Amino acid sequence: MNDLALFHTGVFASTADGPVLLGGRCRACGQVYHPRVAVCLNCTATDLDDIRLSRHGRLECCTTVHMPTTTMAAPYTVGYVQLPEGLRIFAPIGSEASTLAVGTPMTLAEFTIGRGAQRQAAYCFVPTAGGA
Amino acid sequence: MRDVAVIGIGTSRFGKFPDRSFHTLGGEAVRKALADAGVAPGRIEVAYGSRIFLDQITAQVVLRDIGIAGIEMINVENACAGGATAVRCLWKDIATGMYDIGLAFGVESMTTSPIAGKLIAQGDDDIDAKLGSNMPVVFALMARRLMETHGATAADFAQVSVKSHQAAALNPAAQYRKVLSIDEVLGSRMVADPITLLQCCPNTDGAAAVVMCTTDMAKSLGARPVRILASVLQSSDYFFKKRDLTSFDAGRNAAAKAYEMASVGPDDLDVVELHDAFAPEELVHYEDLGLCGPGESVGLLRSGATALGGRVPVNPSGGLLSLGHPLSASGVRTICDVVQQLRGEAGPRQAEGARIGLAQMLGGNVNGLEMGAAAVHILARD
Repeated sequence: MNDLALFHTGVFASTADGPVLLGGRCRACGQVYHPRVAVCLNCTATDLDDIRLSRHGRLECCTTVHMPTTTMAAPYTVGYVQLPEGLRIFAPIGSEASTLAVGTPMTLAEFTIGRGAQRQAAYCFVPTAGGA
Repeated sequence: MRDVAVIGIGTSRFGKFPDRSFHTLGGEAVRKALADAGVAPGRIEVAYGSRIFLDQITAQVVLRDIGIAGIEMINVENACAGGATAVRCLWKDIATGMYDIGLAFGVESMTTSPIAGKLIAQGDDDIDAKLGSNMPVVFALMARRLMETHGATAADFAQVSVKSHQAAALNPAAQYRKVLSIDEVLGSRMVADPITLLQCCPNTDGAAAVVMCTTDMAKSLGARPVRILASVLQSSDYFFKKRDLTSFDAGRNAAAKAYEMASVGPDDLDVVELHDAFAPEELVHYEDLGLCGPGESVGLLRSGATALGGRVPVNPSGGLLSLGHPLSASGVRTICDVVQQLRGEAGPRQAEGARIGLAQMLGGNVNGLEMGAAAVHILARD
């Protein structure tokens, strides 16, 4: 990955294979979280394992946005991707939304938010190369 | 619990008023509500004020110019549900016997606020916001799911806005009184696909107020009471527990509690005012409020049942989309409009013979939770 600062600490890490989301799993009830939590929000147990979430999921829906934000230049596409762990992840989608069907296999990839000196390293989902 | 009634309603003009302060807007609504109730300012025992773009002591400042001071005053914030929260708090005070009569109002001056009117502010730790989420995006993603699971079309979402503007054109209080066609709505600037500009509520300055008391006191005052059959407020659960993007669990649960408290069902409703900040969400609320069964919201809209003259008109005021959305005022304003309908005073927008009505308001969007707050009130005339 490039040398940009992470847009948020503790949310993801870069690996040789690309970015990976950092999560937690409750040892008592098994609930999985992203981002990590100090206390299980499901059963209030405090014993959680740090885990790395699956880099592959399926697109639930996406939208192309035509107004900029402080971190995103318009137009941009964002959506929800469902991971095998049962989590729904909001993320930028690195593809033309109009071509993506619900259920499209998606893979986590590098992404940059912000402009100029404010650029920060983030993540997005892109259609999985070669499909499922 | 004692029976509580709304005996006075008042709203300011809605629109963009850069030359008016929040306290003149709030004062206009409160004065009208007191006059409507036929109650002197000195009778008010407790007051709740609500405002998101907050200065301090909003209620004290608004009521200072009315001749109300020295009583218990509380200022509440609950995102767009703040006004409904003020009403809920006042209902609790009167129902439980703490006070016999009081007022609740919500006010927002979006054009004079240094932070309002851009996008609703996001916290620095809001990961989704940094990655491009905001209010229109949340509702656009909901709309995309409605298209997938419900067969909704872009034209259906536009129809919600067309319906809203048809009602607002007949409402002298509305910010926008222009009848729109589906093509005009679809042809306006794209904001977040499929939501176009004319499917988004405007920024609005305005205020709304209610005077409430026990039903016993209403009789002695000779007022025209509209009884509050149910008052429910709840926050939402965690986002990781949300299964279906085409339903708000908090909104659904609040409605279920309200129906139980009121001992009525959705089929008993004659009129509904609800949160339509973005047109597609109205379809979600149809199902969450039980106005139709699961998967039937598009059919309900297309049938005309929720339009003026339909079985259960939804947002005959024009709604947030065209009446306007002064955030904290909207949860009081919806109750004012339901009361007006139940009194039979809604003129060309009147739901024929309306006896029972529901006012719903949602508020807040934050990482990790489904939403902020959901409020439902059910009201009835005797």
